[in-house]
Amino acid sequence: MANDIALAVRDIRKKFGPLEVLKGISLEARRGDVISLIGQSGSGKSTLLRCINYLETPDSGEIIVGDEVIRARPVRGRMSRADRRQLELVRRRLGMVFQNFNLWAHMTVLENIIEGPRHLLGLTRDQAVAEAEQLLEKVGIREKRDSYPSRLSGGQQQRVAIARALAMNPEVMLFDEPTSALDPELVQEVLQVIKGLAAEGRTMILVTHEMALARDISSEVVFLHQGLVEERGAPAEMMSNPKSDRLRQFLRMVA
Amino acid sequence: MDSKWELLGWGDAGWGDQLLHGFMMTIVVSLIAYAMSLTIGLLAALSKLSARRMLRGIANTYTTIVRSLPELLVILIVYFSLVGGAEKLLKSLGLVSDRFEFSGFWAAVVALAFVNGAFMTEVMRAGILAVPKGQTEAAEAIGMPRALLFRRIVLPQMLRHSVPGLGNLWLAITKESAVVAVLGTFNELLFTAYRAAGVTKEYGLFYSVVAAAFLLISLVSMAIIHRIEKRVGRGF
Repeated sequence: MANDIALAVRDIRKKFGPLEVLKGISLEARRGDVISLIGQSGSGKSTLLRCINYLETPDSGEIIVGDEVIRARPVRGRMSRADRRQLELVRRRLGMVFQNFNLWAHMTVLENIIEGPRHLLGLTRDQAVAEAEQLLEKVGIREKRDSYPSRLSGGQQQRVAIARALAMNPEVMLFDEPTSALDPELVQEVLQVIKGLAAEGRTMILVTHEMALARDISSEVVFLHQGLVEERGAPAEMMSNPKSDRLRQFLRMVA
Repeated sequence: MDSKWELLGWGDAGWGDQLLHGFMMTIVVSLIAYAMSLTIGLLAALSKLSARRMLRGIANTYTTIVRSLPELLVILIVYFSLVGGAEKLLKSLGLVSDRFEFSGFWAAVVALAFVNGAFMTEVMRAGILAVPKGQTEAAEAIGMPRALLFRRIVLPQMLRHSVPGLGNLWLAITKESAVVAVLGTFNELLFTAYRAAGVTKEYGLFYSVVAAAFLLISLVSMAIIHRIEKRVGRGF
């Protein structure tokens, strides 16, 4: 059932200068799957996630969203007009949540959320605002709609960032260490939102250091080591019974 | 004492109407030249940051040359060669009649804009570079096309960094419009006062009036710039 696949990553390789960060990685997420990428810093997990929506351009390999293959092959930062257009359209189907939130600082919470729907999806302001308010309700932060991001705590900013990504109705959500920049007491409020999305059956790829979260919500956990998949499998099995020494070591370190 | 104040009056005896005209000329020339240099600066800044080597080369050559030469020299070159060349070009293309000539006014405006555009380029380039990468990545990630991304995300945030520099350039341009007066092609404020002082020998009076007028322009400008700074600083 090919059209059951929401996202496929095929043999992605990426070098930064002489350093080979990704040495050929493949993933496949069916609709409703939650794949957690774990591993030490430097293992390539964030780079892999950024390759999925081409914030980093892979040196080789394919990204397939639904049944559409990203065509872009930029040469020294430049790509053809048609390829750029295709990439823009594919990116609208992938929601990205960053470690540092990256809310637009010159816009209020509400403006951040309606920006994409208004200018990219063609919604009227009223439609976009109505949807934004539902999303703010969902992430539990409606009273902050007219605040600027700089007035919000990290946890609140990250919840707004999740709402902003959801406003585009993405088919797949990408999370890049969504709680790593948060003070410990603010982690839970963001984790609750992410768990809620998983429970709704959202397709998600998640880079995380939160082992409990990975264990609770993932359909598959992928352990990366030095740019390769060292071990992958069902979360409970992998975490209670790791096969490789490296995963065993890693789990001991983060436990 | 009375006779001195009469010198600033209207009509044949006084210089007041000429001075006011000069004052307006200074403001109008500055405004138009400023708007043009903003445009030049933005285009050159984007060229400098472009992936295209040729655009970068052109913009670098422009800013390097203009910023290394004395302002007056650039103004003379622009006025006497570039403007003349542009006239010939327009004539040979048949776009204008044979007797066409840029007015001294427009020549001065173009010269001022050409010089200030180079400084504007650097202010804007620095402003664009100061926008954090995460801000543009968040827009790329939702599939925002580049032109929209620039208009909605980069430009507003760049302004926050650039307004002080852009404000300085505005103040500079109001004063440089006095330098352009050496071309003797139109009567801005300082040049008018210079003539008035020469005729009446009341140097102190006329130069004080001009000084006060420039001070007034600066004070009003600074108040406006301050408001703009507050406006673009919202949210930070």
